[in-house]
Amino acid sequence: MKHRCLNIFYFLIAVIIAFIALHSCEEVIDINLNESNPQVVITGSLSNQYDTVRVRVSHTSDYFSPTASPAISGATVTITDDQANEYLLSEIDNGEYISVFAGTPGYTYDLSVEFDNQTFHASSTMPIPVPIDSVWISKENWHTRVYNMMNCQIKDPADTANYYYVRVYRGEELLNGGGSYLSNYADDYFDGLYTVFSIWTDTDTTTNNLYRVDLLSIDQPFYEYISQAQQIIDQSDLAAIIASTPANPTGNISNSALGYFTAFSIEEKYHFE
Amino acid sequence: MRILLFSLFFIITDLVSAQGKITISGNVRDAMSGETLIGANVYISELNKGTSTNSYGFYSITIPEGNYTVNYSMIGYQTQSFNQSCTKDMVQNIDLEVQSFSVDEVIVSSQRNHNVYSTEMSVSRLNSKEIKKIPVLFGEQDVLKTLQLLPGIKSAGEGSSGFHVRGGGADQNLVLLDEAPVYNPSHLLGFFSIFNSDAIKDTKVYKGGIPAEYGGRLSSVVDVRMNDGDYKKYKVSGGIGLISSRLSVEGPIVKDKGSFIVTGRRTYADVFLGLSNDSTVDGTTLYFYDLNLKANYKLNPNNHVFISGYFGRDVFKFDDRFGLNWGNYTTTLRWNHLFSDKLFSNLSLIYSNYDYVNSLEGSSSDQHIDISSGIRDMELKFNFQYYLSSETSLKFGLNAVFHTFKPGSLESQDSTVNNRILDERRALENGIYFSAKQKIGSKLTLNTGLRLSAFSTIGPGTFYSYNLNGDRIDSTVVDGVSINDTYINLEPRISGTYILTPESSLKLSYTRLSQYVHLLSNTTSGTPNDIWLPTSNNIKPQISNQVAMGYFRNFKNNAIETSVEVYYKDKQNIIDYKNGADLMLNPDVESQILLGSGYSYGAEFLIRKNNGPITGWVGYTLSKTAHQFDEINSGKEFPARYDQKHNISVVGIIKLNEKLDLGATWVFNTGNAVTFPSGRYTISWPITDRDHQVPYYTERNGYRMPDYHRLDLSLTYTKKLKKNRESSWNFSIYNAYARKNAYSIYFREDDNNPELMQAVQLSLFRMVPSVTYNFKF
Repeated sequence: MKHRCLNIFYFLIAVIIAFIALHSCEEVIDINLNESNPQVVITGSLSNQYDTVRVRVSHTSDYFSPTASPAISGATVTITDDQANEYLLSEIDNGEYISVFAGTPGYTYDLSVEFDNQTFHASSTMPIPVPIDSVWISKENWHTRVYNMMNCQIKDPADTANYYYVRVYRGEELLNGGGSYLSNYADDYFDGLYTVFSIWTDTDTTTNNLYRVDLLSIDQPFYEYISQAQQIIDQSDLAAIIASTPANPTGNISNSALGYFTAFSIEEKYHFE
Repeated sequence: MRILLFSLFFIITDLVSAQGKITISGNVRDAMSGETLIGANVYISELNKGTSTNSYGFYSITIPEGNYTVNYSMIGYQTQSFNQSCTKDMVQNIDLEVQSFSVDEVIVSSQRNHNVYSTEMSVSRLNSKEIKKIPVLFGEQDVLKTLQLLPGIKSAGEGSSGFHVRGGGADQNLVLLDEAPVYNPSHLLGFFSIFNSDAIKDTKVYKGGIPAEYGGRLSSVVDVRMNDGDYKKYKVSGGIGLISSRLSVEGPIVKDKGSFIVTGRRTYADVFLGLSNDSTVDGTTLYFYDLNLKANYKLNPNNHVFISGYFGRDVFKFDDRFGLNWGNYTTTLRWNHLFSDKLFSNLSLIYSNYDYVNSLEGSSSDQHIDISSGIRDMELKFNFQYYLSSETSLKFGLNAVFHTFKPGSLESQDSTVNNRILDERRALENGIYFSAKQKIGSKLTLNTGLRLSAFSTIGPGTFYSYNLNGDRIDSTVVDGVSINDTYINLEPRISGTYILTPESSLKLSYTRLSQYVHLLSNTTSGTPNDIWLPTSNNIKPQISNQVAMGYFRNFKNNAIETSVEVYYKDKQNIIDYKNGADLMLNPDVESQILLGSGYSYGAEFLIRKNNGPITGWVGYTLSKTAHQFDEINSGKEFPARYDQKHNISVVGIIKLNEKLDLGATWVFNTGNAVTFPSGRYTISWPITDRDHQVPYYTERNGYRMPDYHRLDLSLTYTKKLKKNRESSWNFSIYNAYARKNAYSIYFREDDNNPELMQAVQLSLFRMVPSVTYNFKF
């Protein structure tokens, strides 16, 4: 809901900008930014699907540096759960550490990253997946064009805080989540209710497509992380105008490292149209 | 406190020595329209004593019996002088004639140097006539934008009506329209203010030395008074501009006894949206309107009643999917009563409301959702002015405000959405004050005042306290109207003027202010989604102390006024937000707030010329504003966003001949403080499998936007038709040399190579020409 509200606001700004655009201009400029001390960045996630589990360990770089996030190699990366299972991740390249396994909803996972006598920890409890009731496509007019809107109905579990992320695929192509427009939802306004997530996709008119909707149940820290991060990644003129003072998103890695570690569960539903 | 006792001593002395004196009192009015004049000077040459009219055009002066020359003067009007023998109390209502071009030079010599002599410092006054020739964006005259051309007052951004006074926040300005507080004085994200210049008579801004009758905001008072309407004949005036049109009708209710004025303005900005190629704007409605109404009637010489109202709203609709509308309503009912020719009183009943509503339309009507928030005030004010003698005048009074805060609600018929209505908060804000202005000897004038303010939260309601993580740890339930929490503050207000020479003076002031209502808004532009919250167990009252010192010097027989003021101000319990704070519809919003402190200091230089073919001013401000919050920037102090070291404004109006006026303004300021990244890193979203470059921030407001400068020009052609009819054309160019000033700078991935980053500058308003036609008949 928060984001639907924000969206109206985006449109108001868009309209005003369009108006003043008659007199405005945008240009790429040269600007001097300070150098910063490299900070450790750790990002990692796993799900309840049997898949590659990736953890990336790197450093920050200067903002205009031609290479982003120099990799940190040679770290010892392990994930353990509260049932005493331990997974050792092996480095493939670019500071990327992988293993292949499926997590279990309800378990709490601990990430440990060790290098140069420093240890970083983070933990995340994989939420219990919430089943998808039904999915369907509706046609929505937006000015002169007709958009496909993917609707995904669920029954939100009552009396627990739930956080969701919705992905829509046509075949292998992910249709939403480009830029900073992420489809994340908190159940603040629909706790315990049937609710419908409506995702704007595109104006494609072909038929006989297989659509897939993924409903991700994510934990609260990661929901917060996404919400904060989307305000600073892929900045645009609109965002720059209504933005609050930018700040680093609050992650869950110890020792003030940047990044996040999260365990989420996925429910899928297919739709042919 | 000692100064206060000192004052009382003098007052008593005055009372004792009051025999053998007479009082001259009355109103000073515009001869043509009968409108009362605010701040007109009354000066008795032989005694070197004077006073000026109050906000209702009333004056009173008590002097020994004798023969005197009494002068009545006001900028823009011909001075009137009377030689008379004053042997008994008398009522003298004076009508001043508007000054014509040719007599300018004569006026200067008889003008009293009010700026040097008055105890007011850090004060500026603008009358609507004065500002009409100053060039502005879209040709839309705007008193709040003109204020920003004065030293010590900074614009909140390009084209914005928001402003910062001496390092204060935009929500720390008490903006009053006929005494009613206006909670959001801007339209259309701040590009316009709600003040339609046709409806405004007089604007006075206090940056410091704030008199004791005002309270409730931390940095300034902007006291805007609406026109009363013509007491003598019916008049229609208006204007047609590129983006808005105005119309006003005024006239007598009963000639010379009562009058009314109705002023309306409506923009049609959305018409121009059609010109844009951007498809997102088709099917969009976007406009605002203002309606000012006022009527007054003089029941008898001692009783005068006024009613005034303001109704304004911004309306935005997008494709019948979203709606957003917001605005202020204010109403003021006033009764001026003269208990005697020395004791003036005014009783006001005031209503003010600000709210916004976001509407979302679903595919069926039961999916309609309204999200709203607002604040409503009901206020009673009772003010007295007692003109004891020519040396001493007193002001005292009280006010009580009943605030109702509606922090937010979401309401819908949709079964897939839970309604959420945050508890209303109620509070009572009371103030009593007393101040005495005394002339002590021939050189020193002191104005000492004290205001006692109190703020009480009123139930019913549940109040929570929070731990550092923002989790609720305790709750207190308050039922009925039992008073829960009360904050009390004593606010001394002292200012003094010491006359050095007939043309120069030294002034000093100390002001303590407290603010009990707090604006939550973590965006940098003037957004309509304002949430006002009361002081509570979690949010403490904001407090500021300011000392200011000024040297005032006039030259060339008072034709040129100059001043230098320095000030230091500290602020406590100012507000900022936690990272990623969620302010909207959050029942625990108080847990998202951080309290900190700040200070600002600066020097303000002003040279002003009020008469002659060339008028205008040059202002320069050198200042610094810094804030400190334990939770921000590792607890280190950082510059406020609107901290600007240098700020220059030059305003000139050249009267080329009877018909043509050329206006020019030039402004320069150091860029605002801004937070830019100092590093970056890559994250790959597991939710989308996409890589993103994330900026890494090291310090709050550690960078500067580029310097800002701009020249605006205007040409006004006025054609006087038959008696008192007139029409004028105003041509203006905003940003005449098309400087690309940075409105915002943002960072993104290079389109051609996502591994590389680039900084992009957005500039608005390069050379905006506009034309406005105004008429009066």
